[in-house]
Amino acid sequence: VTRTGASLAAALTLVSAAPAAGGTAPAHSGATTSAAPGVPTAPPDHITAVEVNPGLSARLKAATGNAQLQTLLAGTLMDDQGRPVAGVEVRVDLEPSRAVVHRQPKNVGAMSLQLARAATDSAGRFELRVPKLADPFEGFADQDGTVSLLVGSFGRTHSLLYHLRVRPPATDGAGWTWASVDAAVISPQASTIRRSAKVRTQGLRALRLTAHRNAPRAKRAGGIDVGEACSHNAWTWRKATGIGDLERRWVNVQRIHTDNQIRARYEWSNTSNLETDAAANLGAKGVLVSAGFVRSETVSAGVDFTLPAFGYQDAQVDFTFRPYHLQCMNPITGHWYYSGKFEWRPEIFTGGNRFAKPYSAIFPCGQYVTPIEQRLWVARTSSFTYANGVSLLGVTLRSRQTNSENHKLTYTASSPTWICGKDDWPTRASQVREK
Amino acid sequence: VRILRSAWVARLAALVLLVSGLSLSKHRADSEAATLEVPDGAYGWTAELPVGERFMDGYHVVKNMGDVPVKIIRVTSELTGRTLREEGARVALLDRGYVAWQYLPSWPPREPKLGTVVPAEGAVLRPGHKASTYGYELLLGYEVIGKGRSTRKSVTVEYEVGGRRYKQTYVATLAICSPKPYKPGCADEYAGTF
Repeated sequence: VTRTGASLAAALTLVSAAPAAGGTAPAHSGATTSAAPGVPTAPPDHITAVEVNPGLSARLKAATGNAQLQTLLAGTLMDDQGRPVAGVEVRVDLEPSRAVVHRQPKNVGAMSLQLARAATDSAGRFELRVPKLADPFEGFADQDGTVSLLVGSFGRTHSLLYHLRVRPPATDGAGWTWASVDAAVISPQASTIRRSAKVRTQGLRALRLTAHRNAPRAKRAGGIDVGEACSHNAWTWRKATGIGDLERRWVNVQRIHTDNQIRARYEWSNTSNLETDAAANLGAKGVLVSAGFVRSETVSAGVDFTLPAFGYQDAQVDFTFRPYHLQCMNPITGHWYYSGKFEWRPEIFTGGNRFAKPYSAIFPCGQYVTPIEQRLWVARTSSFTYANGVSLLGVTLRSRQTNSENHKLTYTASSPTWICGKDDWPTRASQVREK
Repeated sequence: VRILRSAWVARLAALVLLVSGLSLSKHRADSEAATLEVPDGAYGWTAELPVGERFMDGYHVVKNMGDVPVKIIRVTSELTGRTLREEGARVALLDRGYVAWQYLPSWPPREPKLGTVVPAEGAVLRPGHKASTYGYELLLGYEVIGKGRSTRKSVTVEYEVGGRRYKQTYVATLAICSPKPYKPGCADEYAGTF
């Protein structure tokens, strides 16, 4: 079962009373959260939303009827105990770029664009197929051309929100590729894909996503779970602006290890490629779960870290985190209502930075050892994920720094020594240390 | 009319075969070209060396990611400045002791831990697990022939897979300053976009 997104109002204007086809309306709209630790101020019911790229919506709608479809995402949906979640609808939305989200005024959301939805079978399998679309994805793509997809499923007992960053097809018919692979959600059965160069394409079709149990006493309105009803409707995120809604946390960006001969310098140019897990509240009871990698809302200048000899440190930067509330459109009235789901995301780098002692042990030097004597610099795309990169309101989140040619990592040897890479030779490795 | 129609059908079929043949051929060429994985991104190193020194740059790991042999035809450097001269290229095979050796102050290199070293021209990089993970090491030789700063911008590898020739260029810079010490210090030939 595959359908493309709900029909949307035509122009780039505030969306008001234009009902979306195929949606479900709750009996009435209403905020559902109550004040609890880590639960932000409930948002107002009546916000407005803007359509980000009406041209793309129109192209998507036009392509749905007569074009061949291609698989964007496929995999299985399991619960926390590893059991399949059968017979629920899974959807995938294109999320507005961070620049678009950032410039929305208070109480105005930028709408996601629903690309496809499909039901899971008895084994929890799903396949999300989309028309063959290509660039431009204006309003959805960040500066590097990548887009964020949001996979969602709100069933009667389970809920899922999961963000992943992909590179859209450059030409009609080309494939979608993973911009930064999240190995944690690739099916264990697909271990051969995980190790191969095809992970960026085939990995998107071998997902294993985890849906979390809804809070047992989730408030319902008129007998309808507002979250479940939200499954079919248009979505937007509303930024919380309440006083006291911000949290500040240290986020790991690089782990550096020097011994007695090497000095290291990490020139972190900007925050554009730092991601952390979103911390989502799906059951509306203050219990946060990881919801996949998201970027900060704004791009800021970076900082330089210089580590002397005999250092084993994590370079950390200070970020603010802000809650975003998921709002859904009532297709009958055109009003937006609060789904009861929210998530915390990184917003702004404050400029604060420090070195901190890592929790985990130094990785062993395997076969990727190189003698080094001269000053070496590297500016290569590499990605390193910290399993415990951020600690936020009782949940431990991952942080991931994807280095590109926009950074510079320099190792200076005071006399001949050895360095080694964790998973490849030092210019390609995710982590390097002096042996 | 029937004969004319048959002729048109035959021409159309021939055209379809030709187009599909070209497409398959391009697909095969792309796939073969990717058999040799050269370094990506950008990196480099910087040194102050005396005039007259012949040295080796071994920070080049290439991997055979396919299941057929890759034959190296030629390895060349894009040099700027007048104080650095290319002396040749060799390949250290899979039995070497370190994955890559950044710098040795001699050329040709005489270091037992480099394992089996063969001339780059004509070297055959056989496939296999170690060839696709540990890879082969290109050793590039240079001589410092004058005072000043010279750089290398990139390295180009020409090679042959399945009887076809391919060429890849990657960014691996060198900045060599002489004499040693060089005042006021030797700047990196940074090729990123920081």
